[in-house]
Amino acid sequence: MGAAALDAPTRGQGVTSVPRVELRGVTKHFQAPDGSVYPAIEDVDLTVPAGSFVAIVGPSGCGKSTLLRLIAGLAAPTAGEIRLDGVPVRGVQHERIGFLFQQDALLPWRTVFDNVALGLKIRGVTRREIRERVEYWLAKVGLSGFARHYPAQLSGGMRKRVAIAQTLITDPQLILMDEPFTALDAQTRHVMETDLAQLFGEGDRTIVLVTHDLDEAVALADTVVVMTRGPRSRIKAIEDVGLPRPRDLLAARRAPRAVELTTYLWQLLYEEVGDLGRAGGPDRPALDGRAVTVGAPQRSIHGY
Amino acid sequence: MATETLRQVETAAADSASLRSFRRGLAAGLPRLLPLLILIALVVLWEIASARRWIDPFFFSSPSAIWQVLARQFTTGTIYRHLFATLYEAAWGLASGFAAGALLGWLAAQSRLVGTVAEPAMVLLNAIPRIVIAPLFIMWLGIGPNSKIALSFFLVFVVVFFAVYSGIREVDPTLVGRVRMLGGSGWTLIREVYGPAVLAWVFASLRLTVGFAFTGAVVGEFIASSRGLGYLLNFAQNSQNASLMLANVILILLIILALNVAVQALERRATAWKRAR
Repeated sequence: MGAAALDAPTRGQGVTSVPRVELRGVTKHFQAPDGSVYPAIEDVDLTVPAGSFVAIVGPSGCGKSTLLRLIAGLAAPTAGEIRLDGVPVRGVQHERIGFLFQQDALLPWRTVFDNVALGLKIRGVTRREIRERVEYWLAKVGLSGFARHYPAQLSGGMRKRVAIAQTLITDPQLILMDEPFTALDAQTRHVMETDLAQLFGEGDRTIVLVTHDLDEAVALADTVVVMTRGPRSRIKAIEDVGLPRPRDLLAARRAPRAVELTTYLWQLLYEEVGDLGRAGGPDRPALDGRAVTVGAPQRSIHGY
Repeated sequence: MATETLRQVETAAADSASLRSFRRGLAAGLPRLLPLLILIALVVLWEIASARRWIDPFFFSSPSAIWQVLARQFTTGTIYRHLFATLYEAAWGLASGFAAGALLGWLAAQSRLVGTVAEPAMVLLNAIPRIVIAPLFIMWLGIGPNSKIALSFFLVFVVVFFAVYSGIREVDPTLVGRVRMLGGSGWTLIREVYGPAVLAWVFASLRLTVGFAFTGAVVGEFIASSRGLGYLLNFAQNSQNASLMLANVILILLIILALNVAVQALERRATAWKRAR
């Protein structure tokens, strides 16, 4: 943990010149069956350096989830380009990306063991190695005694932990999380967030977390991206969190810098969800078309 | 003296306790036994009514007469060629109807073109009381087993089509996305997601289709054939033999019941995850 603490300040600051994720002018329009077109997100530029933890916040229906699906290759952008480690995204990026969905999305007809093992099984890992790695991950998420249980026999928090083990067992470099803790009760949620912060501190992982919880975003992430409300969502602001790592999440939430930033983010968000945002259209204060790099905040609030 | 009294009190208490538990057991078991008891009572009443000529045994037969027919059919072995003919037709109808229904259901769920063509066609077929097609099959395929297999096939096919078609379409897209994000595609998706999801639907329809397969075979035989349980029914009707007819009805009933128990046992094993709580 000491080494991780020493490394922490340098993380995310150009270990390699190629960013882990790069979005350039990304636009996604959805075609409804009746032929009408819904412009979900428009002209989004975003850079996520390797080793950084980015949270994306925004009003409901702002295309946050769409953004993640585009990065994962589960959907293709209507215009623009997405690069992973400099390589354009074509098709599902299962080699490099772990995707934690909002719903548990565990296979109800498979045991906990088989659910966690699935990614390795698909990769053709030997049975022996699968057993070792599954046991390691089940122990890590505190579910060693539940290998033979079915998902329906577990609580919501336990299922979420299975999903986390299932996602991380293939050791993805980039982890995309779509409101992973929304359905959990407050205590379980705090435990999961603490685990996540610890996991992030352990390896050279890059995380993009979509959430509607500003406290969560600030406590966990290095950078918070605020999106405008849909349709035609854009990036409204990118804020550097500037809290040190490793973090004690409880303390981090109460740090003056966190409180200040959360308040500020609320104001930004309120402009979107309140009446001010209802004006909509291209006139609203968004960072139109400007290239934005995470880690180089557009606006700086006084230091931590 | 005192100890003896005490012992008497104890045994009395134990007796009343065991009596109480016996009563409790009876009270708990009775509702489950009740249908069986009513059935036995009705059979006995039927036998008495027939023996006392409250009802005409020529038209209504009696449990003992039916039993005699069944016993004679099996001891002389005359029933077997009919039984096997019907089982043969029902089995082929079930197997081919299942395979074809599952294949078309799967294709319809995979391809939008097949789906938009097949779905309304199957809805239309489903709306026809399928038994009325039976004479058509006999005209086309003759009075041999083929026309019965065809009718049986037709009954099963439509049900299985809808089970597989809706089963695949109701699959949670998040599960598909999940498995794809873990690197799964094609065969893995079928094995891990679509297969198990559809299996639950298929089993639910299997119990129905086993009965349907039999109905198809028996109705086909009833209309025109030279063997089979349906042929025996027709023969009994033409010869005004109520005992033979009812013996056949009971035989068919028992076969379908046995098959249902077998299917249910299979279903319990295949979908154990559903009951894990």
